[in-house]
Amino acid sequence: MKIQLDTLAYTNRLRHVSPIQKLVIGIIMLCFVMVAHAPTHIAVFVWMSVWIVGYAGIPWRIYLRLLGAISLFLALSLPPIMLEITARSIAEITEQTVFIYSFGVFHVYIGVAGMKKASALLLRSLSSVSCLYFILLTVPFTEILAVLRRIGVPCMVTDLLLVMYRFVFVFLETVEQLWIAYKARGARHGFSRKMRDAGGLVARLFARTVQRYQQLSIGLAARGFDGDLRVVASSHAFVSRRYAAEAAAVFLLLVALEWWTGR
Amino acid sequence: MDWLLEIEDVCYTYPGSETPALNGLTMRVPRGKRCVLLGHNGCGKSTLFLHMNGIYAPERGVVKWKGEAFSYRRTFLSQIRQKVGLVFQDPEQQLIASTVAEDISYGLCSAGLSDDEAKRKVEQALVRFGLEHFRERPVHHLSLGQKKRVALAGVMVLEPELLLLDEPTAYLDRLHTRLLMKELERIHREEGTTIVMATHDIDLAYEWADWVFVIEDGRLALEGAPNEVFARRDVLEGLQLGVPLLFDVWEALVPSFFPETEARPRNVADLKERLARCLVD
Repeated sequence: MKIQLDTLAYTNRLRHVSPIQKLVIGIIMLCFVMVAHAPTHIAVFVWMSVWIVGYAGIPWRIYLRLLGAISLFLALSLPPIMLEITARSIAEITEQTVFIYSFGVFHVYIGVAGMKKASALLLRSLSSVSCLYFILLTVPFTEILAVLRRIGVPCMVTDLLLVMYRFVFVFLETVEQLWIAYKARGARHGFSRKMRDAGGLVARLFARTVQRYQQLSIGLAARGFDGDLRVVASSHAFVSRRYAAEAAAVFLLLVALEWWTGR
Repeated sequence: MDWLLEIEDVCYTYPGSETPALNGLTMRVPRGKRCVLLGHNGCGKSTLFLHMNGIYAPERGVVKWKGEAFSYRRTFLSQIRQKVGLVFQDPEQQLIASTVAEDISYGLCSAGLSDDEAKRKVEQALVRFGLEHFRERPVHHLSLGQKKRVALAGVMVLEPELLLLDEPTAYLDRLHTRLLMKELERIHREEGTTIVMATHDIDLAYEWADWVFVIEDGRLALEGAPNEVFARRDVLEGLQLGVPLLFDVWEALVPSFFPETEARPRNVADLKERLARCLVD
């Protein structure tokens, strides 16, 4: 089984650009988004999307779908920010409102201030999500690990991350195999039966995972494991001047835009 | 003969199991040979392999490397695991790092090589095993045949003296089995590695091996050169292993077409050639 994000990270057009360069661009933009304001957010979002769809060559349908998934969560979090409930009389509501609904003594309303707050939040979230997707879609996890090792993150942490990353895929494959086996042997219909099947699946999955773990520890021992998972990465990454120049220029423009709109 | 590894009267029972997996097994691996370990599923082949590189310690008996008994101390074990490479049946079990090049480098780094030296060796191994194009591919994007090749490369890069292969052809199709056997042939010829392969493909064993071990219920049932072992039809049939197809065919042909003294053909091509010659005569 494959995870789409992971596959794309290994196959995109920016694959051979140095992971450090991509990480620096992504992280600086992410930090910048935290301090910037609405108009700049839109600019960052558009620019990051150009990187993802244009330069990295991620199909726009996939990118839209990924954004859609995040937007769903965002949309769910907006009503609590926008909606206000009050037990006071309508006359006492001082702020401008777009919508009011009353039941009994209670009034539910959306104020203009709330709308503004929500839209600012939405824009900020979307633009930071685009920065995050840029990192996730263009830097494979193994290269993130290599960078972490280089900047001196303790081996213990990187080893754990490495094994976890390997295990995620072994685990998914096991889940898929078991699930297919259940279906092939005539998975039953109906909600309660499906639930029972799923329960059985989880129990088997646990047993299999423990078995896998034992096998892996034997495998590690056979390959001379001595408490340290050291590997060398032979990477052919290069730092792209063209992208560095564009990143620097556009970043300056964005700072200027932020300064000009923020005055 | 010169023995690389000796197993003497080894017994091992898995915790919680009633029957022993190895029950007084004695066998010796001759240096420089291509050996095959035949036996049914569950006869103790995998357990035996795990004894051969010191992962399991026998409950009774001794395992010796070049005449010296295993000591099971840390330093000894890390040395022995470099000298005895084990390739598991399921490559998922031994692939650790996430990209092909990184995984191959793992053993080298554990062996304490410098980064440059390790990189150079990884590069050589990638070329030797035809994996150059997969260098930076994550392991989970590979097919089973490719994963098996990566696992083999990761073990061979350490230049072990003894290579143990647990059912290397399991789940592989004809093409990939051929490729794998070719690869093993090359390893044996060019690097002089002693190979022990566990399998239940009796035809493959006959075609490839110089030395055959037959294991049954955790004991050695037969041992010797293929011609001698497969001539013991009574024992093999008794164990439900049977004899190789080629062996049977030859036996049917022998008195009428070929003199009994003629050496047996080891593969189909050889047999075809001799039949052609016989028909021309």
